[in-house]
Order: sequence, then structure tokens, then C-alpha cells
Amino acid sequence: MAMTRRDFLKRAGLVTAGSFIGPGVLGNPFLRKALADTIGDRYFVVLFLDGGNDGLNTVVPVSDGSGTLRQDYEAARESNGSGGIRLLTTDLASTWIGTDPGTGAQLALHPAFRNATTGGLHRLYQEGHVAVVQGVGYPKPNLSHDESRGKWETADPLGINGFGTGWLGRYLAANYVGTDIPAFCVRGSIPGDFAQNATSILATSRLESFGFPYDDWYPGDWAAHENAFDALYTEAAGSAQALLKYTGDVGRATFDATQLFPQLHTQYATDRSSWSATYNTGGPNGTGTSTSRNLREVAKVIYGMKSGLFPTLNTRFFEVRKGGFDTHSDQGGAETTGQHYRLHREVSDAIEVFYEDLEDMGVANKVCIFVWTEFSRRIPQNANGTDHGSQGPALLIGGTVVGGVYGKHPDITPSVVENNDGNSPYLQGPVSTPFRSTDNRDVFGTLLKHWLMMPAANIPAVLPLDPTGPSYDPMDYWQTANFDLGFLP
Amino acid sequence: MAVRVSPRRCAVGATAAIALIALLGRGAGAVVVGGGGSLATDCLAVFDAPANYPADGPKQVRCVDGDPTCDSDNLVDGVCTVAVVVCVNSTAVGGCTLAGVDSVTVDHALDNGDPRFDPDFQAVQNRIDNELNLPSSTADVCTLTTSIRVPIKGPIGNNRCSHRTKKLKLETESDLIQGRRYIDRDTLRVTCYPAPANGCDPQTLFAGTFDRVQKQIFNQSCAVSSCHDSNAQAGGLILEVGATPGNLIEVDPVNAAALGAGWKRIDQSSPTAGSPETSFLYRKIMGDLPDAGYGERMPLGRPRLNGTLRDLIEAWIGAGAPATGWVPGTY
Repeated sequence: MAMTRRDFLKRAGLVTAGSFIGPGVLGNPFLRKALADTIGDRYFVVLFLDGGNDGLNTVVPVSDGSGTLRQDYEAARESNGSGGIRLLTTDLASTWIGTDPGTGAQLALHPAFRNATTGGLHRLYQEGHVAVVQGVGYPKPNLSHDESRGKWETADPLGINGFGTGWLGRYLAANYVGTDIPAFCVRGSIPGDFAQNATSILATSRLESFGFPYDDWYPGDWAAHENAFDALYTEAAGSAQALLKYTGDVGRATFDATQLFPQLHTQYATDRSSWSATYNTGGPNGTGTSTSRNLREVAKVIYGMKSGLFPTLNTRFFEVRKGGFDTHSDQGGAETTGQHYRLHREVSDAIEVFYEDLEDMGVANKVCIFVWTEFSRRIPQNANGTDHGSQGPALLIGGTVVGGVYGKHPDITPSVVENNDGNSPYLQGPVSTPFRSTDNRDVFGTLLKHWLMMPAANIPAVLPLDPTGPSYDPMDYWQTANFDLGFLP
Repeated sequence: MAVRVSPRRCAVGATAAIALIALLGRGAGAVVVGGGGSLATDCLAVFDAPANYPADGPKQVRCVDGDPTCDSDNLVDGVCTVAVVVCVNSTAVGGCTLAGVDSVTVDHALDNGDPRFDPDFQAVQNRIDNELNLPSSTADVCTLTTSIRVPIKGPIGNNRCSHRTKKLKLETESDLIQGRRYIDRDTLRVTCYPAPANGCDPQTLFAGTFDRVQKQIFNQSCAVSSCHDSNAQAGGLILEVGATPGNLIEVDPVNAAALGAGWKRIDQSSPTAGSPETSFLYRKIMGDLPDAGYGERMPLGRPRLNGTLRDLIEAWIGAGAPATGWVPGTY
């Protein structure tokens, strides 16, 4: 039977950089050398909540503090009828976290973050392993999914640096070469934050089935195919032409990876079969979801590294995507059938089992998980959901993460929300009360400095400040960096 | 198409079940609707919904606004909120031997500029993606309920209303069976009829004049995919709930000609008086623009708004575009 395009895509993994882009800033060998650093024996996992997670129903005010935060929340979120998405203080009784650094108001996580049996992400918070960073955004927010995702991924929200690369991609490009595979993205394509043109990245949804898309009906041809690919990559890798050499290196890395990565699946499934089953089994843990199974793929690679059985393996960066957060409609509140509840529950329980697996492997202190979304949602709700907004909370989880609440809750006073620019509960607030308390580049910079061990002096090449001048109000733009937000030691 | 009492689901609503006991003479439960297509493939995906028409073999939801057997908010509010579940590998459809679903795709569920994009359909797709764990060959796997919200048409003219229908369409692919993939196409028609008493009275359906403008004009004709929703922001203008009216009143239009003429999006001289003639929003809706520099009539590429709605927005702006309360002549 002939292989269809669909079958081809299902079989084929992908090892490549995000795109072929110009040499840009990283073409300079001196700069590359200056940037070269090491993540050491640590791992970094990015979990992207695709669609725009509603931050106001993720980190929720329980009290007013010195302001009117709870009152304002109740004004924005209705409790009646089918469109009620308000979380009552009784709904939040089991998920209190810290207080808002701005107003002192008590905050709580969405009730789905508490698993009655195992505790969920809220238990990890109580144990001091979760940092909640409020009000994370960027200047001149855009409400389009694609645009906003791109602004986060490039860390170039004003589009003036001409990077075309991702903020993590720039780090990888400074530290790895084409034959390395430092990163594994559990998805069908390479996300923008990893985009660069210097090193290889693995993108496949399942390690088990990662391989060349040979036609199963003609196994006798496989050896010839492999020889042909081998010759092709060897020829290209020996080329003096940079792009051709890069293509050859990536091909070589792909070829070798098809041999290596499926073994990681087998090793993990053999050595950690009960953990493997936990990820895959629904039940009290609420696992058995795509997020838990995708994090299991990450665990397979981390186990492969930790076990020392695969000396050529050096993959320490990961990305997992969870979609469905575009809750214009049917968002729901605290009821367990609500769409937002289900999304949070899936994320919370998946992170919990992943964390426990890491603890059992003895590497929980070596892993940092960064959870982000392209924007939060509108402060006032629509009929039964929420429309696109701007800033929102980000989460950091890990054994060495300094748990707590960072960044101020946005000011959601109705008059501020309504009168802001005459245009927005979703654009940045007036200078006196900005909705965005934390620039996302401060979060990235803190990760680069404190987790990926990049010297602060080198970070501006990866994360340049916004310009100054009459059209760039220093209250709105990112002109002073703070790479010591405190959530990592 | 086959209809059976679900062997599995009974959560769609006790009230719906009571109505259907009389209809079907069977035990309590919601109605499984195969949704059409070949009987051989019809079990791949089915709807579980308060279907009630035709009476001798329900396959559609025909709902009167506020009827508790089908309108889950139980309110006369101009919108039928109908709870729908999607199940795969159904055992309730006779004559179908297939099992094993690879994917289910909901029509008009992608916010990619599709003019018929519907956020409720997107919510159904999200439920399918997040809750069914496809591919799956497990029997009778269902999503939780999603609300399909169907507004009535109107009120227009001398407070006349009529029904409106939304069609929820699925395309379901089986797993490969001996090299072949089977497709099940399903449609659920959900129609909302105005309530007989007061069901077309603006003061029953809306909280005030602006609420009526938002729900009857902006939501239905403007804040739609690729136009004035937050993803597309055509002309820098968003007409979704919450963005309006703050982004309209005394705000400069982006259009250079209108800006040069000194117009505002809504020209409000005081909180109780405004000028429709120098309000770009009103002029765009009317289509009587001075020259091509002012752009096209709105809604772009769609029929002109009904005269009642044009009068509604004129009266609202003329009264200073108040965010609350009723302007005379708008109810």
C-alpha cells in the first residue's frame, strides 16, 4: 500500500531548527564565544498554554487587601445564569496561596489546581516548589493569538531587533552546534521560542515512533534508503558552503537521533513501568491526558540522561504545548465540568505526577518548569466566557524554585479598566496603575541568569532593552532590566 | 440516522428527560442523534442533546426561548442555551459495526478569518480535543456538555421576532480499517423560537439600549471573525463585550478622512446628547460616506443592517450613547 501524506507525517519526526534565517547577531564568532555558557546538569521545561489562559480566574483575589481587588473581581465576573464564571470565596477556600505584593489581598489558585486525593499543583505550592509571577506581559500588547505568541517567543515585542529567532533559540545557538540536539519539543513542529539556525532540535509527539517514514510494506528497501540518506548527509556536512553544511549536520543529527531516541522510550518503559502507567491512567489523579502523556515523553529523555546509559545524549531543553485555552465560550467557573476547570485540572495533575516522577529519579532539584500563555483574557467577561486580553500570571515549578507570589496583581478597578486609553481593559493601564507589573523579558532574563547560568553582562545580546526617547515612555517600556526577580536562587 | 435512548448518558437534564419520556415512551435519558449519513458509519460520532423534532424520531432541537426542557438557563432572554454532548464509538446506533475514531473535526471552529466561525463550535472542538483522548476505540466515550447558544432573530420592526437555526456539523474519521478510512458526517440543527409571552419585548430581552446595541448589532454583525473581534481588530476597532462603549465615545477614528473631518467614532457632545452625523460608527453603518477615502459601508460584504437597527443606533448615539438605561424609541 502506498503511504499517504498523512501517514508520512504521523511517522516522521522532525529534527531541524525552526527556520533558515540570516546570520544576524549570532553570526559573530566573538559574540558566540562570549555568550557560551552551560546549563550544567540541569533541565529546563517550557509548558505553553495555547489560546490565552484566563489569568484572572487562575490567580484569583479572595480579599480586598488595601484596595478593592475582590470587589473589582466580582464586578467583572458574574455569578448568575449559565454565563456565571465567578469563583466564590467558598470555591477558593482550599487553594489559598500568598498575598498580593501590591495590595496585600489574599490570593488563591483556581480550585482545579487542588486535587482532593493527591493535592495537585497547590500541594506543590504549599511545599514551596511553585512561584506565581503576576502581571507578566510586554509593551504595546497585541490581541491576536499569532502576533502575541510571536512577541513572547522572540522576546522582541516591538519588532525592532530583527531577530527572527526565539529567546531560548538564541541561547541554544550560542552554546550548541548543528550536530547537537539540545532540545526536544513534544509536538509536530518547532515552536518560535526555540527558533534559530545553529543547532538541531527534535520535534516529535512520541519517541517510540520517531524514525524515518519508511514504507512498512517494503521493508526490503529500508537499508538502501538509510545508505542513501547517510551518503547525502555526509556529502552535505563536508561542504564549505555554510547553509549546505548546516543542512548536512542537521540531517546527520536526525539520522543518529532515529537510532537513539526510540531507545529512550524502551528504557523508560522497562525501568519505570509503574510511573509510565501513572501518567497514562485516568482516575483520582486526573492523569491519562495529553499533557501528562506529553510530559512523560520529557521524563523519558530526562531518565535517559540521568541513567547514563546513552553517552551521546545531551538533551536538556523541552517544550510541551497544551491547547484549548481560547475560552470565548463555555469557560465555566468552579464546577468540575467547566471547560476552564478541566484545562487547569489537566495541567495541575500532569505537572504533579511529572514532578513526583522527577523526585523519584532524584532530579527534582535539577528541573525548572516554566508555564506561560500568549496573553490572559479580558477582565470583564462576555456572556459565558472571556475575550482576548493582555498580561497574566506565569508559573515556575521546580525543586529549587523559591515558592511564593511575585509581581503585583493588575489594577482591575472598573474606572481604570473602562477609561484606560478609552479603549481597553486589555491594553496596558495608565502610567499610574499599569496592568503589566512584570515585563516578560525580566522573567526570561531571570531564567537565563539564574537557571541557564548566563552572565548578566551577556544577557542584553539575547534580550535588548526597548529604546529610549520621546515616543517611549519609561513607565510603559522596558528600559530597566531586573534579572533577579527572586524566584530562583 | 438512528435515535435511541442513551445507555450511558443521563446528565443532560432531568427536565429534558421528562419531556422525552412522553415522546418516546422509554426510560429516562437524553436523546442520541446519529446525525445523518450512512448507517454503517453513523455510530462513529453521535450527538447527545435534547432533540425533540420530529416527534416520531427526534433528530433536531427545536427550542422555545425559556423552555426548561431545552433552554438550560431557563430564562426568556432572547437566546436558547442548548446543552450538547458529543460521543464517539456509540453503541446506541444500530446497524453500525465500526469502532475506532481517529479524529473529529467541528465545522467553523477555527478563528482563522472564517466568516462563519462560532465560539460555541470552538468550545465543542476544544471539548473533543481535550476530553475524548482520540484516537480511541473505547465504546461510548463522551465529552462533557457544551452550551450551544442560539439567539432568536429580532426584535425588529414593530417588535417582531422569528426563529434562528445554528447547524453544528462534525466530520469524524475512523481509524484505518484494512487500509481504508471511513468518514461519518453529522449535523445537529438547533433552532430557537421566541417565547410566546413577552418573548419579543426588548425590555424583557435586554438590560437597556446599549445592551441591545451590543447584543443585537455588535455581537451578531461586527465582532465576528476577521472583522472587529480582538483577533483581527479591523481598523483598530474591537466591538466585543467589554471593549465598548469606552473605545467609541469621543475616540478618534483611525480612518484619515474621518479624522480630518473632525469626526469621532461616536461624537458625544454631552452624556445626554450626541451627533450621529459626525459619528463615524453611524455613518459607516448608514453607508452615506462623503467619498471613497472614508472606506466601505459596514458590515463589509454583508447586507445593510435592518432599518430598525439603524434607527436604534441613531437614537442611542443621539441620546449621548449612554451605557445604561433606556433611550426613548429604542424599546
